[in-house]
Amino acid sequence: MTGHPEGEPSKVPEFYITGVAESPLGHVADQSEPSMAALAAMEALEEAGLTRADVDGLFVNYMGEEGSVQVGEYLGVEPRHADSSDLGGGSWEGFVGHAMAAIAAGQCEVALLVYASRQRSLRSRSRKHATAPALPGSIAAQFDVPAGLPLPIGHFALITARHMYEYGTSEEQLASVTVTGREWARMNPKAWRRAPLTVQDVMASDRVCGPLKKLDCCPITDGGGAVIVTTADRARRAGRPPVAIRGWGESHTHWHPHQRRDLTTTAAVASGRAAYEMAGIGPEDVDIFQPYDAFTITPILQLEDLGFCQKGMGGEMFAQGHMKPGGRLPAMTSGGGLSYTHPGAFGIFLLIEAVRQLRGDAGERQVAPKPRTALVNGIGGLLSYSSTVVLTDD
Amino acid sequence: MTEPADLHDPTTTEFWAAARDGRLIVQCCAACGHHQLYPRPFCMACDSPKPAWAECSGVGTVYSCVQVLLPVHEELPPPYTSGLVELEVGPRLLGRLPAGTVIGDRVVARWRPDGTERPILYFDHVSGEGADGPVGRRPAAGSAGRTGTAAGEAAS
Ligand SMILES: [Zn+2]
Repeated sequence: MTGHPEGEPSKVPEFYITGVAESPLGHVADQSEPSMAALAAMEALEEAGLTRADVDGLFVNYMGEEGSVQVGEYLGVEPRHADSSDLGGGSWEGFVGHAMAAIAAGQCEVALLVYASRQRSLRSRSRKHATAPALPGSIAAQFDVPAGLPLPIGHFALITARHMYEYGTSEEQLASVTVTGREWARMNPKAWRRAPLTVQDVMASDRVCGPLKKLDCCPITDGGGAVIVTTADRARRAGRPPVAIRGWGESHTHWHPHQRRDLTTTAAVASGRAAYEMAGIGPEDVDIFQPYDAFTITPILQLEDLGFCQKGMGGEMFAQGHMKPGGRLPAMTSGGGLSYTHPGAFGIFLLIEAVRQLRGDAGERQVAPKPRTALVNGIGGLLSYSSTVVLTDD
Repeated sequence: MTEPADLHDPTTTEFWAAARDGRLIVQCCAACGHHQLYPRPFCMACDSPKPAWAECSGVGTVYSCVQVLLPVHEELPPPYTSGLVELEVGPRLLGRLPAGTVIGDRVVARWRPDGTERPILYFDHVSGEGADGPVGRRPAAGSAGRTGTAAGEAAS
């Protein structure tokens, strides 16, 4: 492939996040899931200087069958570009790239990414069935269910145990991931768990599966959020400084744990490489990191697979405190899935927090000096899917 | 034997028929020798169509395992141990393991009839590496490799 014709300047499309909002979080007794999604969408649109009528691309996961169709009806949006892709909890990082592609192809200009769940209030998923039960006759029903591993924690426990075996990662290092998130959560008034927490507290919590203890696992909350992805032109109307999307990548590796040869290396290797390459940066250029901490092993793997440390050293890096307030790579700055909120899928909240930090809107927990480059990494399934987004403040 | 409709997966009928006989079969590619599970209509290593079934010893190494302390199945009260076993021929299977199993242990597959079309897979520790056993002359080194890939590569 050669470049553009001689004399014609190359127009690299630019993409911005111009509005972000959370719905009510925690235990939400006075809203439905669609109404929570709508509240977040309206607030994000207002911040972006846009209205419902401007939305021509709609990106929804979960929220029922054909999610974007159901949410589109509720919001009164009939989009030109619709996406109900199920990429698990990392779908919204994936949607950022899908929205960029749609905008670049002229299929939409204002993409609304949205999510809400009341799974704490509705208890629609117990710990036993935090993912959909295997369909009769499926590979999972035949080859996985009889082994009796609880989902999803059993699979994360398998990965944790293998990482401990291969690299010497300790339970104390895992606990330091929860403690890191909690130190940030203590400065976030919206966080679900805010009490002081030590490594000893995590170690003393009940063991639930293999090496994983209760406080290695995220709580189940209610919550939702919305993110607006749009063009440079539309970004000029935004009420807060637009955040530029500079890099993006996605990949997935496996669904069943027996199908992944190296269970402790994730699709973040591929999604991260693509995102860094597109942005023209490396891990050394990242000021803040938003990993997907549903379980303590995940941010450890993400640190390694995104090149912040050598493979196997992620636990040590957390234990040394580098991701805590004042550390050299602030991470989980909202408090993360482990302490701030985790309504089944956490991906949209990673984007919201990164944008707020890059704008200087993060209040007491604002990283100083204000970060200029954020790396966001969404994870879906049983460490199956990864999407990486590079965001900058200009 | 016919399967109830909700259990029907034509691609695994042979696998479960062997399991009811107490045998473990895996797909083996005639072109390149690659072994694979679950079954597919092509070889994952070389794309050749229609990999054949081959019987295997069921001996393998524990790749990862965990102690389950949450109730999952009514008929399976916790605590119990489950995990991933890498068969000597390469593929991995998820199954129940003896209490006290640790990663790297050598185990052998057993089928436990439970009155259904699909018996339950569990693993026993390999007792003794005697010359008369089915695993007697197999080298232990490699299958306990730190990366967990050595056994699969050696077999293919
Ligand atoms: Zn082959």
